[in-house]
Amino acid sequence: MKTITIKLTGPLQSFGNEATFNQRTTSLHPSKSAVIGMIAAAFGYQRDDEKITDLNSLDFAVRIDQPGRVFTEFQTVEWKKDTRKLTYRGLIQDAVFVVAIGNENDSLIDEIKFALRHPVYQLFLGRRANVPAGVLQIEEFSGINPVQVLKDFPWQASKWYQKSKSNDQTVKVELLADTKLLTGEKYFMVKDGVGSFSQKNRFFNYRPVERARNGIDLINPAYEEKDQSTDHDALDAL
Amino acid sequence: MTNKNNLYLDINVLQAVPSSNINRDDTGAPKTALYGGVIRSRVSSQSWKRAMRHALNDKNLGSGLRTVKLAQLLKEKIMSLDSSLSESDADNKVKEVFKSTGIKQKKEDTAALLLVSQGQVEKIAQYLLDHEEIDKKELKEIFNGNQSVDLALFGRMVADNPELNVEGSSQVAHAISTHEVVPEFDYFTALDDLQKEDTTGATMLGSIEYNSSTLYRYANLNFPELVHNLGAETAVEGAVEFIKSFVLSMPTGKQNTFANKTLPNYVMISFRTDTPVNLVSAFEEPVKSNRGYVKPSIKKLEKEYQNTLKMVDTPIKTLILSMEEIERDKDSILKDDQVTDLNELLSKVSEELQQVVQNENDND
Repeated sequence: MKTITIKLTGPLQSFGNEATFNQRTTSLHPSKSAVIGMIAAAFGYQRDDEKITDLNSLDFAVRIDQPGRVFTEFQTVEWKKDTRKLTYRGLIQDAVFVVAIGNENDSLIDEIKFALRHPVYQLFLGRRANVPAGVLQIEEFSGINPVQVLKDFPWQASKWYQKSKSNDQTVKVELLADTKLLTGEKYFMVKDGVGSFSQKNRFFNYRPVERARNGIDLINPAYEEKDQSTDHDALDAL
Repeated sequence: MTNKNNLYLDINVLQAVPSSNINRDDTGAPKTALYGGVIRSRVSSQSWKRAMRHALNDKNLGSGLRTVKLAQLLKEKIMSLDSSLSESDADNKVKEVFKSTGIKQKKEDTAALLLVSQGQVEKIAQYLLDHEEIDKKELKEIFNGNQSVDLALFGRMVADNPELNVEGSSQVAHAISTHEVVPEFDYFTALDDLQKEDTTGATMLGSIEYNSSTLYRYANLNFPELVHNLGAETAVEGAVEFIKSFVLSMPTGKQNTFANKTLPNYVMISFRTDTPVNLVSAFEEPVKSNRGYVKPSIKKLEKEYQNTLKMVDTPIKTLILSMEEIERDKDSILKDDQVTDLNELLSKVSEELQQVVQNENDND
């Protein structure tokens, strides 16, 4: 088993779920299908390439290191001359996620890692205009699965965000993973198993996902020990 | 295991924009984004791409039209190519196109705006004249070939027939300010010239939200993909026009109110063979300054460029055009990459790409 972590961050991200033309919402964390789409783009697969669905077999976990804030982007679409439609798109701003991808086939993971650093097509975080900030940060681990990796992987939130929690020695972050990587019991279904990205026949299958029961506790490097005796004692002067 | 053919152009622009409201949301306020924990001004990629498309359409580079009038264009073209054709014959020929491609029509017009190039209209018209029977496959090839530059750059979506879709070869990020912005409001009143002298007060009042910012703008171009879409020769020209339109265009929102049409203060173009890199990470920690944002932004951007080289290959070429004096360390790897004006920048880009195209031909 080899696992890589990929840090997903940028001013804007979005991970579409069920949507209509006018209202396209985002889920609050990266979907497996978005990450598979990114890997497929890196490999240079065409949208209808059958090799894409093979990537569903990758083990997948995601950790929400900095949840960001969802907002609705408003856009007009001139779909017909002088006739505009309003569309609303959900976007997550200022977020940091760490996804981990694992597989028994070590060389597949090596190929994915290489491709993400030498992508044939541009990578993006849910929408084409959401370009990842900076170089995609990828780390490699041998012999442990994605959930095990993310239990210990250092907290990736921005410095300002870590500092805003400087009273806390540890922080609790959310983790979601393929249910077989956790207890395998309390899962829910999410429609983000890639069926096809083909624009003629785009579809997704249901996929069982599990949320780590009590989250993951991570060390806050920005923790500052405060002098505990700052309580005001009105009678002290007596 | 190499992607030998990769060649990405990263285009980084820093541009100071005075009080303005270039791109507004549904409440009329300038669009914003949260980044690094503070509010930034933002101009959406869609908005800037529209401005770029308009700039590109002024060129005679097989420019594309966004239109519902495909039927009319085809009819006119056919009749001009063959003057002996009657109007009803021309109509019938055009109808065949819609039948066999599955593009939906409402009366004469297509149901949605289509992006087509003049070249495509000409070719389809010629095809209709040359063939009694339409071959679906051949027609599809014409639709996909001979693309206009903006189509090849930004892509096309035809919901009715996804086979006609084109994947764009560029990626344009939302522009965001390198620093925190505080929204400001312009309160205004307007007086009626014919107002009687004994009355007081304004006839109209309101407020406009605006802000001023130094924007970081980023776009990239997948050059092999552009070559795939356009062919080698047009691709070089298309890449140059893409850069030019990205650098010089400005969305028109509230332009008449604020006259905010500025030009970039700084342009950096990198030719990368491994991966595109968006340097917006330089500004995650917002620039703080009480003496302007451009110079400190340039400094941060160049530092980030240098830092990222620890993780990615050094670009085969980097070109910088700056309106500002830049203070750099003596050992800065960027000190020899400066050009003096936009023409030099564009001709150097063109030279470099010509060479790439040349080498690829030699490899065959």
